[in-house]
Amino acid sequence: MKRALLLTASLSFALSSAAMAHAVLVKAVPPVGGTVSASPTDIKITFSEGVEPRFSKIAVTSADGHPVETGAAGVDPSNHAILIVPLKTTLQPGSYKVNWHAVSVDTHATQGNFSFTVKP
Amino acid sequence: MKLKYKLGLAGALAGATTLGCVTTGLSHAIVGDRIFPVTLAIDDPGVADELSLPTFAHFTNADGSIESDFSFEYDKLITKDFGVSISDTWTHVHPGGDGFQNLSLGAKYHLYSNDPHEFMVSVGVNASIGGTGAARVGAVNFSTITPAVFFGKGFGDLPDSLMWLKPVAITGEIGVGFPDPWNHTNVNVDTTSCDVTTVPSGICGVDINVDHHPVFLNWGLTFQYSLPYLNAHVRQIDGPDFLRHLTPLVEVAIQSPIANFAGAGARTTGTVNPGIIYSADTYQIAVEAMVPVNKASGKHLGVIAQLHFFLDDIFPDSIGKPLFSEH
Repeated sequence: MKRALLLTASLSFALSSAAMAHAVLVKAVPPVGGTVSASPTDIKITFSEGVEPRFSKIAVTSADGHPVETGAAGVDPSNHAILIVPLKTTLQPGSYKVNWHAVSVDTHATQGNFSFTVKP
Repeated sequence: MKLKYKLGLAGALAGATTLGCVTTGLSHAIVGDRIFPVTLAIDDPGVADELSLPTFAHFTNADGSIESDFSFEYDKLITKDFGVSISDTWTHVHPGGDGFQNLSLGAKYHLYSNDPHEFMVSVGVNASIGGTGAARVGAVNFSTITPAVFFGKGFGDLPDSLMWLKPVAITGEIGVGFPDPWNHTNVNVDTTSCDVTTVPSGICGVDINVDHHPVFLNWGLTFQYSLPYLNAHVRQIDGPDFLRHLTPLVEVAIQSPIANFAGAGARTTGTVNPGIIYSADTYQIAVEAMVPVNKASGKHLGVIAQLHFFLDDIFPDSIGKPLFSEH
């Protein structure tokens, strides 16, 4: 019984400190699959966990596959779960694809992609 | 490797398939953008450090007895691609009694991954150790060895014109449960009709009785629609955060006797399990209904639920990492 209680306590502690896991996209700006009325100045992705900016990246390409020039990726100083990459150019109306690669603070890697549209 | 809840609905002869650097997503069942959740009726295609505790099932057997099972499974990575497992089930059946089922030991190897196509394959073997459980709850006295193949395929590689189907994934498992070949022969010496005056040894007949236990084909599929994948890849889900953690799914798990079943009364059994999985950062909760596929599998709905822990996320620097790793 004592051993069972210890296990339960350990798991409870571990679950309450949910800072150790795979980083999954929770939301993005511009939104996943969404449409914005003007060119965004940056891409912000909120993950389920804090991420390491040195090993994480966001790349943006236009509908015809041309890369969009971006600055270096960084995290929001007040929330390390938000990865931000500034756009160096104004996006013309059209569809764009975002490819991201994130490494969480416990070094687990995840990746994904989504599209958004800039309205004419 | 997860506890595959063994559908002994017919009380069957237990075909026991129970069967500092960047880590590359090989914990959990991850391939490319896809994270396959832990499923209950069949095993997922990945290998990982994880714990299912408990898995609870309640159902009515084909003979009308009512059964409740409490199970656990612990999976330990030896290397990043190879893991072992141990699992067991405590059963209460009425009428009947209670006790443990046979202990199961497993090994599994992650064989192949294709990230762009979200496809992965693993192979494994499970041994259900005969005689380690209680006969009153249906545990058999012979062992079963089940080699099996596991796969998973996500459909994130579909064209954008079919974007709403990208969250779909299927996983599957197929294995053959072989009864152990060294524990089948009973030799009976019949001396009742001996005439010791003519047969000095007193042995008049030797009756060799070979128990032919059935060989089972165990297979299953899952059909999943991942709302986390939908939210991250197709369209942002507004509303409660709870929704972004759900994966509705249907599981199918079937056992069919394919050899040595004449006269043994073994028949195809299985269930179709519609349900839902809630995936959090370090654990997941799943609940499924169990719908028997035929009369031999039962006549009533059952239920199965599981609490599962991702040890690689909870204890990444100790028991949650492979015993032998590069880092």
